[in-house]
Amino acid sequence: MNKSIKTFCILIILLFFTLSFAQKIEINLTEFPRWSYGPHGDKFGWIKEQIKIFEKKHPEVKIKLTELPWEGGIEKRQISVASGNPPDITAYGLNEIIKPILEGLIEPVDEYLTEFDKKDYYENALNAFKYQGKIWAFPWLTTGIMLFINEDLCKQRGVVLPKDGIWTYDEFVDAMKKLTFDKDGDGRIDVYGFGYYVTPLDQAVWPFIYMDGGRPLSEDMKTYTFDSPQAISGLQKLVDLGLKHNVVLPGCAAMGPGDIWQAFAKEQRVACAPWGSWAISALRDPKKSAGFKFRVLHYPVSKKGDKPITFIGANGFVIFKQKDTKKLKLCVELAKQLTNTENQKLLIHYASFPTRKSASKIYETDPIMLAAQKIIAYGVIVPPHPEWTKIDDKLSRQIQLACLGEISAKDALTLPKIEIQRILDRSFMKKNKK
Amino acid sequence: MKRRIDITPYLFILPAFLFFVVFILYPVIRALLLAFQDYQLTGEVRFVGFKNFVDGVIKDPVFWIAMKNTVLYSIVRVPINVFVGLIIATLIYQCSHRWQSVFRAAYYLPGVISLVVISMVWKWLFNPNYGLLNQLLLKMQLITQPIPWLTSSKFALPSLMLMAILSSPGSAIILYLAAMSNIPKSLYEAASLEGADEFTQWWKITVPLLNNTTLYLLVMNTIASFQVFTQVYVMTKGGPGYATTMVAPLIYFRAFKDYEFGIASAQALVLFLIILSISLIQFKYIRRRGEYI
Repeated sequence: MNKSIKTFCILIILLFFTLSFAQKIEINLTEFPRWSYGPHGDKFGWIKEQIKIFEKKHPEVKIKLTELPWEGGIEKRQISVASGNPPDITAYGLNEIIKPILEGLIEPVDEYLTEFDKKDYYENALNAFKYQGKIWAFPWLTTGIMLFINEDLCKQRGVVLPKDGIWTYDEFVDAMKKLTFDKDGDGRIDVYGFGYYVTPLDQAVWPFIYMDGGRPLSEDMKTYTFDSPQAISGLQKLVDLGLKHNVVLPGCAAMGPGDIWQAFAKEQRVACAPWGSWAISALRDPKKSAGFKFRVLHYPVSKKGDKPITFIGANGFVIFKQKDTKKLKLCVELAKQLTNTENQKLLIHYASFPTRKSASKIYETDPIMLAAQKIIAYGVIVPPHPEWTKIDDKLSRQIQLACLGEISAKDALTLPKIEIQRILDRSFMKKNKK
Repeated sequence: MKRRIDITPYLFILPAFLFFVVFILYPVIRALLLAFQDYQLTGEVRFVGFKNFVDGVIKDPVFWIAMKNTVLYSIVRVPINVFVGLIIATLIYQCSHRWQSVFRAAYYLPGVISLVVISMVWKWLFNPNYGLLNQLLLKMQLITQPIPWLTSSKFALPSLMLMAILSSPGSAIILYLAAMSNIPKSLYEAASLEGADEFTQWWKITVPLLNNTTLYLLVMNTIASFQVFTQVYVMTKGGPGYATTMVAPLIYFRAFKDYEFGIASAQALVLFLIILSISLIQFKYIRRRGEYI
């Protein structure tokens, strides 16, 4: 080998070693669009700003941000987890990570929570990430579903809404009847009182089924219990809105949330619909809605004095298992930075609620957000079962058929019993084997 | 004397071959193995024999609902699409060369548009409250109540079939036109001298001589129909209930929503075997009919 080739090889080897030693620690962060931030209204602006701050503090770190859209983004992230390439850090709700927790892919965060953190986080926020006695995320925000009602239409139709936002089912039906009317006098109904959607993994109509005390699974999550008379009577009340009282947009149970949003927020063909608290800022945005006065209300209760119910969702930063302890520490630090008090105060732009008491007063001057905060105080979560997506899919499809009048409320909740019980039994056996 | 092998042609096909091995052959073999394994998210695998076939195929009623829907969809869609393609191609073939090009482009153009976009447009057309189809039918007084196209179990699957039928059979037209131009003119001249009218010529000469093209279209359309995904995913998500649940979306949901990769692979393998059997039957039957040419 001549001398120049030898020199060249040595140089290449040296360069390789220099580059390897100089290589930065790369943290993969996956995020979704949040609120418009900065002069260009970038929906990833806040996270980008946080990355800059973190990288400045830790020059040895390079954070790779994967920007995912809401449409299909959740599936992309699931595929990345399933294919063995999960992000290092990302925001999740508990129900989405139970399987990865059971597979040992997620890092529990208990030991990284300081005494201050434990006191500062709301108990229900920490509980929302508790599974098998451990906490699996740094809680970031909570949100919940509630009924949104078009106040302009209420005024036009002489509907008086309950002052405290709590109404009985009968009062709700009366209001919806008044809000169902022929607007242009052609003999056909143009505006419907209520509109909803039945989509898997979305609990928009579940407060109705919970109304009389029905619950899908037993406390120990081993038995299917949605075939109880209480659950059937709750579903019957929802079904009756469309089939008996005729106050529901026809066919809406088989439509997507986008169609219902169009009918409610843009065309005002639906006076009342269930949405997450995010809809508060969306309805205030003239680009996303027709611009009308609105209020948020509880789901109806069965009778006066009953406690209202809704479903809440908590989102927190989850860290996937790391082999490198240094990288793990950096991920923890990043998650803590993203969920600190200052950053939680920015949730005012996202119409969601902080999980820290130290950031709780951000909505003091906003009566609608305050009302929403009161509603989600009555929130419950879906059973944290590893096979929940399967169970939910089976239930949603039957509830959809009942709402469309194709099967009875009783059949909707009793037909899937055998299959769901089989899923529960199999899951229990699998857990025991492990 | 030892014969020297020229490796140049092998080098030329090497990139394509590597691509085939990495992106087709390996995933197919991996999926085949996965059908007999319990795959964990940690990458851990355990051999489970035929358990995935029992749980995900034999004992899963949703799989059989999806299979029934897929078969029904294919039975309606494939013959109509191929037949409509043949009729339109026959009509276009009568035109001058310039008009043939115009029609060819017009019919093929929708084929290059994303199926997601087409599905979104159809979703709006089918909207029960303000969709164009219902508005039109109500205006023409053909119906008194809006049809719940996608929001009723009775109408949802036929609506997807209607969409497939009304979508342009662009590739079928192009292939038929190409095949028709290869039929010798002398056959038509001879038939004409014998007194055969235009329909007889079409039926006795054109249609039989297009048998191979028809076979190809039937096989390809059947495969595509059995793999229908986008329309279902965008328009109905398999609902209402399970009315439009098809096999391909079901496999996708099993894998990427439920993380049941073994079951999804078992279902995919069954789907593959069904498509293979149907294709073999089509080959055997239609090729035999075409052999006299």
